[in-house]
Order: sequence, then structure tokens, then C-alpha cells
Amino acid sequence: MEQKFDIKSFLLLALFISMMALARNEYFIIAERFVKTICESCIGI
Amino acid sequence: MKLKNKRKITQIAAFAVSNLGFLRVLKTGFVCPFLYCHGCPFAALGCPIGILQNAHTLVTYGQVGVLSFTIGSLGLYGVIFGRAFCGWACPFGTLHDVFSPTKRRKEVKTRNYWYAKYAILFLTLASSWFALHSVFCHFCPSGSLFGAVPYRLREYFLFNRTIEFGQPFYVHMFTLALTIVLALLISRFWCRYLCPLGAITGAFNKVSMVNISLDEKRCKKCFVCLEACGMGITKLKDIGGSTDCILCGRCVEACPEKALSFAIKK
Repeated sequence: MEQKFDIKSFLLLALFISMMALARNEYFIIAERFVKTICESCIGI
Repeated sequence: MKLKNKRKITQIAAFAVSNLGFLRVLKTGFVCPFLYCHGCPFAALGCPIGILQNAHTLVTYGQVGVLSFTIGSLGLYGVIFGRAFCGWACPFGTLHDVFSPTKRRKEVKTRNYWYAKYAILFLTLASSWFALHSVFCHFCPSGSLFGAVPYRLREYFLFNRTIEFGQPFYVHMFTLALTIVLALLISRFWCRYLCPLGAITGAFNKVSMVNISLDEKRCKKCFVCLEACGMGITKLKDIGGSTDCILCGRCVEACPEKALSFAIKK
């Protein structure tokens, strides 16, 4: 296993985790609706 | 255990987890790291392409957080695993593995149109923005298989209801049939050329923490790894790094010199 420190990956990781953390409450309220309602385009109605 | 068998186990597990939504409490809508239709009656996760297509509506209603969370999740998956979910988890990719050309049924050789999936991604987002509708979902073959078909089966067998088979359904079935036929001729056809989600996660391959590394001292340049590749990678330097690599490990398994291995960058 190669073990090499990559600062770019860690900075990106921190950015994406903070994007998720800041929006988590809003996301789950809306996303629940996405999966619990029938998506007509997906199922071809 | 062989990598091939490990991959089969994770693919089956990912399919099972994707369908945990039959328990309504598990319909979390968490961003799915692979293309899986949330139109499926049992879907537990939300399709990121489906959510991104609603960007215009979300921005209009000030729900920018939903976009932020979706992009953040995709970025997180990408930075850690690159495009590995395509090779190790995606149910539609698994279907492609099942139908992929074999030694007997030779693959049709094609050029590497890696940029096609970026064109599809652009068209998907642009069309949804202009039409204010998830246009891509009308054609998505994954949606056909994991959304349109199970939905009708559930309605018929569980609720004894029949749903009309109108034009949109036939369009779905046509795209699914076409994709399967092309998958029989070209290995991982959808993943190689058309998957918009693969385009996003593939862009992270260069910085992903999980990757494949090549030990140049051991490599005898026999190119057995490239022959084994299901994604049509043609250069050694593209293994692990190119947007096409799904980190499935076929090359790792095929290498007689053990010059390729999975690596974790810290």
C-alpha cells in the first residue's frame, strides 16, 4: 500500500464535508419528498 | 478471496441497500453514490442526477442547501473513492458486467469517446434548466429498469392495479433495450460513454484517496492489464487516473507481475 500525503485531497474533503454539514437539515426535509413521492418522469407515466 | 468475488458481494450488497426503502422509515433520500432511480418504489436513496435536475426549482425557492448537500456528497464520494462506486456498487453497472462481451462473444472495438459522457451531463443539466423538468429521467435506462418496471409490478401484484403503458413507458423500454444491446457488443457501454454520474465522479479520479498504483520496476509492459480492462483504457498511465477508470481491479487481478495494486493516499 502506497502511503503519500496529499493536501489537495484533504482540502477538497474538508470543503465537501462543510458543504454537507451546513445544508444537512434543509436537505433531508426536501429529499425525503423526492423519494416518497412518485416521480412521473422516472416511471414513464 | 478473489477480487472478482469481492466485487460481486459488494454489488449485491449495494443493490440490497438501495432497495431498503420498502421499509418506509428507511426511505432517507440520502444522496446515492451511483445511478439508482428514486422512482423505484423501494428506493432508499435519492438519485443525484435526479436531484441536480431540479436545480432551477430549488434555487428559485431558495432551497440552495439541497444543491449544496448533493454536490458536497458527490464530492465526498469522489475524493475518497473516485469512480470506484461504478465498479463495485452500481446496480446498472452490475447489469453491464452480466451482459459484457466474453471470450467467445468478442467485443466490438470502438474509439475512446470519453468526452461523450460530459456532453450528456451538460445536456442533462441544460435541458432540465430550460425545460424546468427532469428531461433526462424520461430517457434514463436505469430509471426504466429500477423505476418504471418495479413500479408497475408493485401496482399489479401488491395493489391489484394496472397502470397505463403510454408512450413515455415505451420510450423507457426502448432506451433500456438499446442500452442492453449495446452492452452486449461493447463492454460497459453506458458507463464508458453515456453515464452523467460517471462523468462527475470520474473527474475525481486524479485526486481520489483510493486509487490504483503501478509499480514501474515490476511492470514488464505486457499490457495484459489493458486487455482485461472492461472500460477500454488503452494507456498504462490512465489506469486509476483517467475519467474512464472505475477502479474495478480487473487489471490488478490480471497483472502476472503483481505490478498493480490498490493504494490509499493519506
